[in-house]
Amino acid sequence: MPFLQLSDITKHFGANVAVERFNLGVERGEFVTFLGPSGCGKTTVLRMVAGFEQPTAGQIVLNNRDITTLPPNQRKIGMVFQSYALFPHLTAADNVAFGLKLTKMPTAEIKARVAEMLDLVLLGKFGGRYPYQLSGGQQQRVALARALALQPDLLLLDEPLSALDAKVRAEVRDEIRRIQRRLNITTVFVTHDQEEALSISDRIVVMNQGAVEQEGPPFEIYNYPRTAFVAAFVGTLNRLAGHVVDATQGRVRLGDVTLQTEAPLPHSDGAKVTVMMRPEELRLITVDADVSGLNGNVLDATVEAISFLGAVVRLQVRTSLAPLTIDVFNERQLQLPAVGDQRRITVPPEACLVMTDA
Amino acid sequence: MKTRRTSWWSWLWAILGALYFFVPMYGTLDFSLKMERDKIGLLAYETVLSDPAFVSSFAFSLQMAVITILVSVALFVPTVYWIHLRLPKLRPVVELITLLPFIIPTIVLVFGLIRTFSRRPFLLTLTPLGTDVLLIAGYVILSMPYMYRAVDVGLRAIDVHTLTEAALSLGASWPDVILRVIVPNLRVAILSGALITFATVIGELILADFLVRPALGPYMVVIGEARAYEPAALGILSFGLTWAAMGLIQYFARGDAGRQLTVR
Ligand SMILES: Nc1ncnc2c1ncn2[C@@H]1O[C@H](COP(=O)(O)OP(=O)(O)O)[C@@H](O)[C@H]1O
Ligand SMILES: [Mg+2]
Repeated sequence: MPFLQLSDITKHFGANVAVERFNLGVERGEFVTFLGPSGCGKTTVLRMVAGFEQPTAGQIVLNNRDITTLPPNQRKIGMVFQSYALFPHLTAADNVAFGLKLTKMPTAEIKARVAEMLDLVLLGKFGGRYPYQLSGGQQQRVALARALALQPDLLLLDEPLSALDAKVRAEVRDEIRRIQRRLNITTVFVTHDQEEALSISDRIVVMNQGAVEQEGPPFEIYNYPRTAFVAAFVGTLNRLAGHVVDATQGRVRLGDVTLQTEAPLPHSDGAKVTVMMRPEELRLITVDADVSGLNGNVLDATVEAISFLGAVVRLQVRTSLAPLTIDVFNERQLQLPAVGDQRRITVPPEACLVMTDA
Repeated sequence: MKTRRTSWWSWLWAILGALYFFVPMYGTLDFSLKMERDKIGLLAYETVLSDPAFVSSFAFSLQMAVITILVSVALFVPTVYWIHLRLPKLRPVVELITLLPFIIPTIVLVFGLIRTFSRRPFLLTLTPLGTDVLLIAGYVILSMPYMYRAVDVGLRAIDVHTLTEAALSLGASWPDVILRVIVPNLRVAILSGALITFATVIGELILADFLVRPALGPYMVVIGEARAYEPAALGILSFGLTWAAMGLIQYFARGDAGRQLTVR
């Protein structure tokens, strides 16, 4: 059995179903992220694991112990909140010591542990400061140290970075991951930010309307989304509506263009589908480039906008089908087109994700 | 032009207000210093402070005030906290209930208390101790609007839910949460509630009078009927006490504790 097992967890708030038959196993030491839009039930699942909400149905087992109805103060689960939730009347060190003082731990040992935890979050010199004397990022690191000081079985983080600005957010994110690896602590992290989820997780659980939509490593979630919802929620996408013309050959008709996709399609001929393509998988070529051998997966395009994003250059182009977004990796020799230039786009068959219309 | 005139008017009103307040005060102070003919002196104060009846009634009221404060803090902090945490919908109802002491005259309250608790099975008015229990219960009710509001405002200033959950996840029991997280963050609120309660109890007349307890209020009435200068001195003294209490509230609200409450 996995270290943390959620079985058919359901939560109703009156007539409102917040979580519906949620199933998940988390292995010891794993870093799992719940990703989904606001209101999809991420926080509710986390709060049930922490013990702040009682599931309407289902079972939660942690470390071979059924904790479904255990009070939160007996679960040995550390929690980090979006609003930091440091105790305003205590210094950083006393915040970290709070849980330790409730145990029978000797004072000297508490002091040593507090120092160790503050060092771990790189705040060794800030123990004497009150929360209002710390920046947001520092407060959240103290909150992390406080949650970890008791050496919990499980660490839960509910959008811990959402209140921070972009640069600090990335710093604290990397810090959380570094510390998680170092302590090998089993972690469940909640976010609505797909970039955050992709960068930090061993495994992502994409949630939609209170249930698991898809779970897997970031690479798999991003490259092999199994539903239109996952494809659209994770990363940027081009979507084109069309219908299947030859399922066995994997051919789809979009307006006046027929696209060759990678594999035979499970659809019947004539089925309405949406073809999705990641911007970085499309290729921009000049009008006179050789396109033989590309199975006709070529679209004429007019460049409409160019935005330089640093590592990539994002182009908006107009085609006979729909406007498309294309990402080109930046390099110094890059020959950028100008707005208004004619170009062609090639669509590699493996770049096409074909989804049945809902 | 317009703003000048407004400020002229506001000055006028401020001065009138100050006169309304300070002239009688000054009169009282002046009078209290003239007990000896043709001489300014503190004789009235000396007489009051050395009167054993004053000392004992003040000591009694002081005791009652301290116990009242302890009881109402013990009663209201957990109650209002729980309402914030679990029963927020009840808040308007509770707010209305806490206003009842303003609506129901104290005289009605004291007759209600006596009629109910002097009978079997309570028989509280038979002994001084039992009567003091009634008296304190009455004081707690009288100071309820202030204590409730002070605690309520204090709780609004902190994130009650998240702090509670943070403490629970760190292994705290419910008493731990209240004593180690909620109360320390309500220091200023509790203190200001306590000081207003103190002022209420020290100056209260009707409850103590009808329950026949030797409190400061009835003493002041008696001395006010019998003497001329001493009541004035007493009035000034109790003003001084109230102002000292206000000053303390201000001082604590502005200190470190206050900053922790307002800056989050
Ligand atoms: N205490 C509550 N009472 C009623 N409805 C709630 C409560 N908590 C959450 N919900 C509802 O449950 C759903 C899921 O909420 P939540 O778990 O907070 O979503 P997320 O964290 O993914 O944004 C929402 O529709 C929300 O309105
Ligand atoms: Mg949430």
